[in-house]
Amino acid sequence: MKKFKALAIIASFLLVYTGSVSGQEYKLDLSSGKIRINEVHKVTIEGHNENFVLISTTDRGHHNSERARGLRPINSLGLEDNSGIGLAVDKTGNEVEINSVSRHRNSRYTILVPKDVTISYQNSSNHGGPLQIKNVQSELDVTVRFNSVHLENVSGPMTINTVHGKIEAVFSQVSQKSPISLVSAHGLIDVALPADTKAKLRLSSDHGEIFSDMKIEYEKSGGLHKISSSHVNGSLNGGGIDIRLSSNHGNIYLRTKK
Amino acid sequence: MDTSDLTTMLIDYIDGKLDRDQTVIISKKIEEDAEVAKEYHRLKEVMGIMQSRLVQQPDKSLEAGFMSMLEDEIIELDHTLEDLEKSIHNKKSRIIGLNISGPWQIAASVILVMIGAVIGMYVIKSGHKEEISSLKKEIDATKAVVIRSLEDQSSASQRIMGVNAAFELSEADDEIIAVLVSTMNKDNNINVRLAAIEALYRFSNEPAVKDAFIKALTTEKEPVIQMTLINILVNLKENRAINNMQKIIDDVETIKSVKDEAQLGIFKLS
Repeated sequence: MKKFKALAIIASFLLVYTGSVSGQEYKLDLSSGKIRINEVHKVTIEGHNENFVLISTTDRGHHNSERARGLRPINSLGLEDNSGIGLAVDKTGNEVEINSVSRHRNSRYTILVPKDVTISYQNSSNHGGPLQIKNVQSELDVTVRFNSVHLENVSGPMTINTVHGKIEAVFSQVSQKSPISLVSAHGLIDVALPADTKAKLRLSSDHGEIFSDMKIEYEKSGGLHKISSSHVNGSLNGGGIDIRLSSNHGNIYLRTKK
Repeated sequence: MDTSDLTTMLIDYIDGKLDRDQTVIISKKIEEDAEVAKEYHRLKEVMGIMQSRLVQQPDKSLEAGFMSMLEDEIIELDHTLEDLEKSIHNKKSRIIGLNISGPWQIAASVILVMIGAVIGMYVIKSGHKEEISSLKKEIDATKAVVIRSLEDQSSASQRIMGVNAAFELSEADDEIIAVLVSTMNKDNNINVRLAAIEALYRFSNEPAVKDAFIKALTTEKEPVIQMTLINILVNLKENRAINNMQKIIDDVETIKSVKDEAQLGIFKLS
């Protein structure tokens, strides 16, 4: 009898434990296709070699609030928290869409994404925290207003744009599949590329400076082209895929990856 | 460094042919040494004049003048040839005593020349035709790439690749310009729209492109695009854009930094 009691205690502990874990994690099968993440404020996206999407967060959201106990956040778009972690997750075919349901959440979501899935992230609010993206080799589209964007161990293709944030990127290699374009209105853009990267560069900063330690082969100016310090066109290692780094007010830093 | 070395380096410096270290050395020299600075400005002026001379196109009246001069020259040459022929003929007749060349020889040489001319013209013509058709093929192929890539809604990066293909075109094409203008205004990705603006900027001597830039100012809401358009129109010294820049300033929805940019734009253009 004592033994049974002990077992029951252990079992209930296990239940509680797994219950709380499932409250902070959400798993979804996906091997290819596209994932769209909209208006989720603080996000870390990481590529992995599994055939599922795993979203985790340390925040228990509305469950933490005594007053909101038994209630759930609702949203003008009619979105419902069907994941248990404050997100509306919808899968149609091989496209997954993730929307934030509650507007203010303090903790960060980590989203693990299969390596062949293309990723799109959008955030138009000023609550957006820095977006972290790591180990992603598939195509990336990021449109934000206030967020800064930090990319690590990425390869492109990608299009990233922000109004107020900075963009920092460390490339492990540069995909020659299709172009890379990083654009900010006010923020700086800091990009590190492997020394042997083959690329065609279009660097521009209307009001800032452009810095680099890479060996850029500058485009010859044929009679009609205006050369100005704010626009630099050139190639790396004989040319390759187009890389555009452009900020209206921020500086551009193009460096060799150490 | 002696004077001739310095001059060579200054020329290369102006041409942008020096490597970074040398560039730094020379720009320092120009800053520090008044003599060098003077030489630099003199060379720059001379090279500027040379450059502008190189790209100068003769106007129509020059061409007409040249053609009439050429014609006069040809007529004169014909006369001289005729005179020469006559004198040779006379001499020959005198030497040999009888005219063996006769009209047949003249006829044969005329026919030979005519055949040569016909063949020559044919070769030149067909060469031109080939050149034109290959150029047309190239433009059509590029057009197809641009339009096909821009239809790819699943990948913004692919669409940028399409837009960048338009950079390969050596001259503007109405259809391409229309497609790029629509991409600039309507694509749902900002990076793609910026690439379209940059591609259009290459053809900014076309009135349709300038008009599209000015018009876009009235509808554009994205700060990045607004700022880029304002800067481009300032670069193009397009003072027809002043009204639309004022509208941007008056619009309550415009963010402050864009208003500042527009204010600066109006200041530079007026």
